[in-house]
Amino acid sequence: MNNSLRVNLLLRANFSRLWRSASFWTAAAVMFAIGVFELAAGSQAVAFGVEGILDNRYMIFVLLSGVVLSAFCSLFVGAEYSDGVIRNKLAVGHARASVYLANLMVCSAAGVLACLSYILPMTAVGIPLLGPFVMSGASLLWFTLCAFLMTAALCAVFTMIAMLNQNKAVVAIICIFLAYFLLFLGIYFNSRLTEPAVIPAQEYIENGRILVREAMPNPSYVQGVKRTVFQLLYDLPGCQAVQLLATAEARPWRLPAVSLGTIAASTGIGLALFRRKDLK
Amino acid sequence: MGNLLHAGLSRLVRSRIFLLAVLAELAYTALVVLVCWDHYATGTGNYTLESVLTAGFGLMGYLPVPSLIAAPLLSLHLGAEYSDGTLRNKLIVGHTRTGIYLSDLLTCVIAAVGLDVLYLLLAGALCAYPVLGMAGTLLRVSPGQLLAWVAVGLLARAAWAAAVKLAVTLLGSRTSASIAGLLLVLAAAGACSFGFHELEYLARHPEALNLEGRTAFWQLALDTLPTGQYLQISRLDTPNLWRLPLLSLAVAAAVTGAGLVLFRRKDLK
Repeated sequence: MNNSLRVNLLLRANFSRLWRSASFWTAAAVMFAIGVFELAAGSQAVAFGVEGILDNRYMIFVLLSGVVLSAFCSLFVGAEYSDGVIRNKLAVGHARASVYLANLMVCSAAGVLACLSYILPMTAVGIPLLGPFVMSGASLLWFTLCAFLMTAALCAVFTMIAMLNQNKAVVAIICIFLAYFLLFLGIYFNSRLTEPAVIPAQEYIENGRILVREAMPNPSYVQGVKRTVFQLLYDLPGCQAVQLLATAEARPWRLPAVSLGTIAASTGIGLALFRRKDLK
Repeated sequence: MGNLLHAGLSRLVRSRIFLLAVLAELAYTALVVLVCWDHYATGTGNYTLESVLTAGFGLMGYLPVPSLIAAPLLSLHLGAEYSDGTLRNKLIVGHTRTGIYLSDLLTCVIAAVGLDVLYLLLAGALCAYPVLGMAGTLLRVSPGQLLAWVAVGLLARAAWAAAVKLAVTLLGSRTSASIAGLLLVLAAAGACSFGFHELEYLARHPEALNLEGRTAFWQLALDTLPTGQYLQISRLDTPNLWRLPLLSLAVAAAVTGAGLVLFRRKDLK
């Protein structure tokens, strides 16, 4: 049997397990419920005359997908160890690389499907309820693609962690903490990088006199090497979520490249270590 | 029950996850202390010790970091009782289910409250000097008010630990319990953030529909949820301080009662 056929068999088996997986349907249901909640909150804002509601709410799934998928990947891949599935796959002659790649593909696909379960109510009901998107169709598609790639990159990292550690509970804790850490790191970088370089001149009243404070350099403005490092780290998957949410500030040409690089690096490291792993 | 409690605490203290939780709590304390000293050095802060100490319950009124540290500790410790067969052994040697449940609960409460006390002692000791340098005084509230906040926070932590114990009893698996624990902490923090936002919105819009009912609902939700109590304390804004300990006791009693009923009927394999 050739290698591609073997991977196909593993993929078919993994997808078959995915459709029956309670953790996958829970992840999809959580994303769907968040979509419905955002729709309800958006329709309230429409009542107050706020514009561009759909654009603001559409990308919120990128903030949550990392956390939801960290739990899913650790449970889905962890079950392969606890149920002895990996041992069985290797015993019938599948290569370790095929087993790893099949898990990676299914986790990434599940990640994109979970995101779609948010996007579905948001677009199907959101457009008639909240009005059309303000941003162009091309931008919308590009940002959605960036978000899917970021989700796949996070899934690749979570799969690597889960494939290299047989303790499901520990993997779950590490992955969830990593997802939160990256998210909060992104929020921190966003707040530091959006500081203005100069504090503008300001008029104020003191003792009945109008005084003017001259414009001055902002001491909190990040510059030099520190700014370059912050910008590089801000592009990491997870941190990217904050960039994608603030689409006006995003540098979309860099984001997919960083996501693809993360997928390649984590898969390379994961494969190298998984090949040498002692599977009990 | 004394033997069970002793055994539980002894197992907890020797576990690797407890060491990791203590290290994480120390790292969080170090972060708060370093920020405080940085503000002192750069002259950019003007807060007093109550802000530093109440950050032990929630960071900047939004993120209950100590709960994120304690949730995996308690879930893994309690979940190991199921996976390692410890529960079965305890029952075989003649302990009652009630005794086992309550001793586990007390272990959790002691561990979770212990981590909070560790933060309070270290942060209080290490931040007193920079706070005095920045603000010229240690406290802007009375010592009694600060003690009341700390006591209410610790009681809320006990109620929260009881809720974690109930979740582990329901799920019966340390993996599911760890995931549920961590996700619920964040879900509760999200719900509380929404609640604070709603209360601020209602305060600015007296013309809003059903103003009194909505305000009362969100305030009750924030007062009842242990996470809501932590975050109110970390914001130094507790409009109903008197009822928070009562609600914590009620939550602890309700979840412990429900947990005991479930645990008595649970099929332990």
